[in-house]
Amino acid sequence: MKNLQLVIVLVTVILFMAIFVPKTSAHPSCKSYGESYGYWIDCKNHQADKYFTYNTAKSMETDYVVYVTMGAARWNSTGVVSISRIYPASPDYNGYIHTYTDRNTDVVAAFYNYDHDSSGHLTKWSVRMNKTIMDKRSHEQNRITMAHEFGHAIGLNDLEASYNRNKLMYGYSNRTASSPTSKDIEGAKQILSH
Amino acid sequence: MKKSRVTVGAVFVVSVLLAGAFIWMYLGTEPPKIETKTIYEDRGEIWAEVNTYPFNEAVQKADLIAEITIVEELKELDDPSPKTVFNAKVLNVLKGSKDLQDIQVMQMGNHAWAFNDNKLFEPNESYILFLKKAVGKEFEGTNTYWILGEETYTYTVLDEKMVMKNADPLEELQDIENGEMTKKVNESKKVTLQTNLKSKHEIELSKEVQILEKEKFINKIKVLANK
Repeated sequence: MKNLQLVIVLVTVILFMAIFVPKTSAHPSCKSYGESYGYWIDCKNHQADKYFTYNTAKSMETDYVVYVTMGAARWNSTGVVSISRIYPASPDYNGYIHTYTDRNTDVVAAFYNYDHDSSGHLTKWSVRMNKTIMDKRSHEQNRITMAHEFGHAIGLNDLEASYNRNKLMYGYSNRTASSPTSKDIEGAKQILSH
Repeated sequence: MKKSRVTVGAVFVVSVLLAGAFIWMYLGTEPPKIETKTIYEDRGEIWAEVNTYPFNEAVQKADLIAEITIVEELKELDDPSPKTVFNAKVLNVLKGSKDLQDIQVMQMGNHAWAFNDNKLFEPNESYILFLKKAVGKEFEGTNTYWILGEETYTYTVLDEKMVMKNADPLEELQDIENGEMTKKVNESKKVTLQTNLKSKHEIELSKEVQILEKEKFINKIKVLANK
């Protein structure tokens, strides 16, 4: 009888373990952190390597090419990533940056996650810059916006809490940071450390 | 002894049933999902920087500030950006043309693309929106508007007394804020919404919000609009 009870208890334990085994994710070692850490990692959409490239639309105006280049440079100067432009221009390339015109929105620029592999590494992304709004802003404001968008390309999500307004990854135009802060850099390092 | 065996047996049976249910849910055939949920889960994500404005400036910039109720989804747009257009009934005009009754409101995002993790509007929900008249050939002759500052100037009407600023809390509004409720909602990340049909439902929040006294908020807008 004791043996029977032991078997029942063992089976019960095994079944409970089956219930509480955590769901496996594509990237089990990735922790997203969050607002209170000062950075929020997108475990499903981030770069696999510190070296990555982007491609810009062929017809892009010089001012806009500079916004993009300077945005990438602000991350490159941290030494955490190395982002470079690749030629020739192709909309099919992973990491396509282009301008567009939408007069019926307050969107300055937007990062689109198109696709990722089973490890959560971005395989297709794009950034769209809204000329309707960016044409009316200062060059510096536009460079900051592009530095922010490259933060998304690395794998950082927008921060929404008002106490994170002083981070580059704060999601709205009233952020106070103009370059990656120590927290933004820490987030990027976390992404590339696994 | 007999009692102990019955207890062990009962625990075993309950465990098997529980485990079976969970294994069925996680590993085996998935239970049927609600269609909209499936679409939402498969959506691509857009993370966009939107312009934000100090409150005074937003009141001055808006062509129309109104309390509206969402009637139905009219259509989705893909170009130049993913958007959803809703038919809405105007309940109260706070700034702009007083004779407007029905308008169309464009919200960023659609069923293929999530925009800044924002929830799409649903019928019977009420909002106070800061709106700009849509321009372009396709909107000529229509009363179509887009939302100034998108989620930062979308105020959900929670009930007769409270409205919720859906993102980017403003210091200028702290004098009309319900501090205790704001703190509670931001901690729980949940808020109860009362629709105009008097039904209540809970919604999950992904952003820091600000709960405001509705009457004082409306008065503040009217005073600034008339300056």
